[in-house]
Amino acid sequence: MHTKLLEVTNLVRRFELPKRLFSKQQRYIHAVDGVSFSLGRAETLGIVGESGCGKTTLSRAMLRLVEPDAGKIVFRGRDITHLSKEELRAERRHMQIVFQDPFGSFNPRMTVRQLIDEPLSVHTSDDAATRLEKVRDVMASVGLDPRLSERHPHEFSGGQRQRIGIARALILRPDLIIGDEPVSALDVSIRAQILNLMKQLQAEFGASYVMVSHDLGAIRFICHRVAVMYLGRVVEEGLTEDVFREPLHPYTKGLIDAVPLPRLRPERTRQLLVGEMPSPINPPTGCHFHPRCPVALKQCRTVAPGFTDLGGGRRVTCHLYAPTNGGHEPPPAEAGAKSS
Amino acid sequence: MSQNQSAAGIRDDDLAMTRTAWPARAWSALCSLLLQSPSAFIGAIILALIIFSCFVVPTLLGQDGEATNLLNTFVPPVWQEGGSWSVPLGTDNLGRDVLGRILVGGRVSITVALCAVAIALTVGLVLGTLSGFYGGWVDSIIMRVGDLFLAYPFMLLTISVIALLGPSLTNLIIILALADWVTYARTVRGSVIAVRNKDYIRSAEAIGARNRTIIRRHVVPNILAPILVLATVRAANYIIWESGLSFLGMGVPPPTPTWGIMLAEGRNYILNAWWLVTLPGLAIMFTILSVNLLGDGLRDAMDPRLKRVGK
Repeated sequence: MHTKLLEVTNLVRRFELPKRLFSKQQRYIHAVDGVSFSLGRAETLGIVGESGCGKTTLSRAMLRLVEPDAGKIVFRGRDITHLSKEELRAERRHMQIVFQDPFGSFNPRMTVRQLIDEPLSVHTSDDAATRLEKVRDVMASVGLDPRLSERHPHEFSGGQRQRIGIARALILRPDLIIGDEPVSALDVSIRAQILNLMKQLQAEFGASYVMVSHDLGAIRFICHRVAVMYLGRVVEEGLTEDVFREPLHPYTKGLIDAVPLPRLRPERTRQLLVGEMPSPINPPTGCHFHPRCPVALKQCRTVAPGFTDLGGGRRVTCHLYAPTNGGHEPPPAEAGAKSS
Repeated sequence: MSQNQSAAGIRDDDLAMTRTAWPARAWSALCSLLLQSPSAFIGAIILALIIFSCFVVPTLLGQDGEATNLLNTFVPPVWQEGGSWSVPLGTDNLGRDVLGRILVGGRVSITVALCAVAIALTVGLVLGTLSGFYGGWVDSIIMRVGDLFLAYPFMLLTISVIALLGPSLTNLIIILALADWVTYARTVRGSVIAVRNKDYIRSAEAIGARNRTIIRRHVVPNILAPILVLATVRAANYIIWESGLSFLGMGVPPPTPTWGIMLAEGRNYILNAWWLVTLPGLAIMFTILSVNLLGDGLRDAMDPRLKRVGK
């Protein structure tokens, strides 16, 4: 029996760019560039990063909604990286996804009943009456009035639609639910409701979540562990509380400092990120983050840092923490940050 | 069923909907669609009237539109001086009853239009959907064959088919379908490509639905509206094409009356017998108008987003 529900190893997904005229060289965008993580049962992993860092591609690639170019995905103890279409189809009943856009992710011609029923009709051979009963049950458990089941999705508000999306993901009692920015399109007040609902449903049904988001507040609220992505690579991973209390990687620090605080005088100096994320077509050499890094060392320009395991599930990709660079000693990051 | 009603609010008709056989369901769905849109309703009524008068009335009256009466030529319609109630819309150069010929002639025009639309639409829908959904080499092959058909001039196609098979109603339908399936295929393909990238297709894939289920449940229903409008516009075109081909002698052979043949023959006498061209022309116009009204209305009624909220 595997304790891990999902293990992703060195996942790579790159997109081909159109060839230039007279150029033989094929250029790629490395959207996901060697990402590894694992997810336990009833655990929530958050994946955070700026727009374009590859988090959405990662969420699709680990379900094989886009085919990964390299790497390995082990789901429920089974390597699904090379499953045939038909085998994968059967496996999909255990993994579901909630999309970001509650307006575009439903077929406008189907009623709510048909939408929520779809996974059932694909994967089970229950008769119509049983399925209707299940649809009504799941509607009730996500807080939708079952009497609205014959309505069309456009008659619902954004928050209600996201509940429909969750109901649809939940109805087969999957082991894994991936949320691709599930609350980003919602109002702040609705956001809290949906996050609470997801938390409560996790307690009830024991599904594992992967939450992809740029919303640090949401991630902090719902995730047990968090992985920070930058330009297709994971730069830091650890328990949510650890990462938020003491971010190690300079990029994570910048991200967390960028969250506005409702205080007149911030108690510590903020280290805000400067500049734009570089193009993933021509990523910087060495550490991808070095052009924006306030504490970059010489070797950051040439050598890509490997993962340094700091214990307790904490991993960071930064030369400052590499054993050759002073091991686990507190890095000279604070000094650098203050002087700049 | 009654214990359910109290518990989860299940109504009997919820289950009934899933139980009824599909023809009955389709029929009731069609009726409710027609009632939702006034223009579809009016179009359907006019079209039903036209079809009824063309296919049933002449048989009841024992008319075939071919009987000549050389003693009674160029009688004007009844409201003009010299008109007579025995031939309400007058007679033509051979003394044939214009009303009877319009009614009988409508059979050919309507049959041609409906059959050609049905065939071309089916072929175009199937090939266009495959082409747009799967892309790659499937798309290339289908679209190159389509280009071949597009590049082939319509008149040349008609002349070669007629020369090969001879003029007849069936051949006329075949020609129209051959010439026009590409129009549907291309429109369908474009719409399918647009729909294919929607999130709800991703979502269905994530659920694990088979491609054919995705096509049937998610792709086709969402591309049908523009195709339906296209079909009604083309149906109107086919009536005109049929008229044109009959006019050139490449349509249905005489003496069977069609609206096109009536126009062709009537044009020689347009200065002294206006009713010979005007009346069949009006018949064509009303048929096309009703088909267009129906198509437009159905498109609006089929879009759930335009449905009136509440009951």
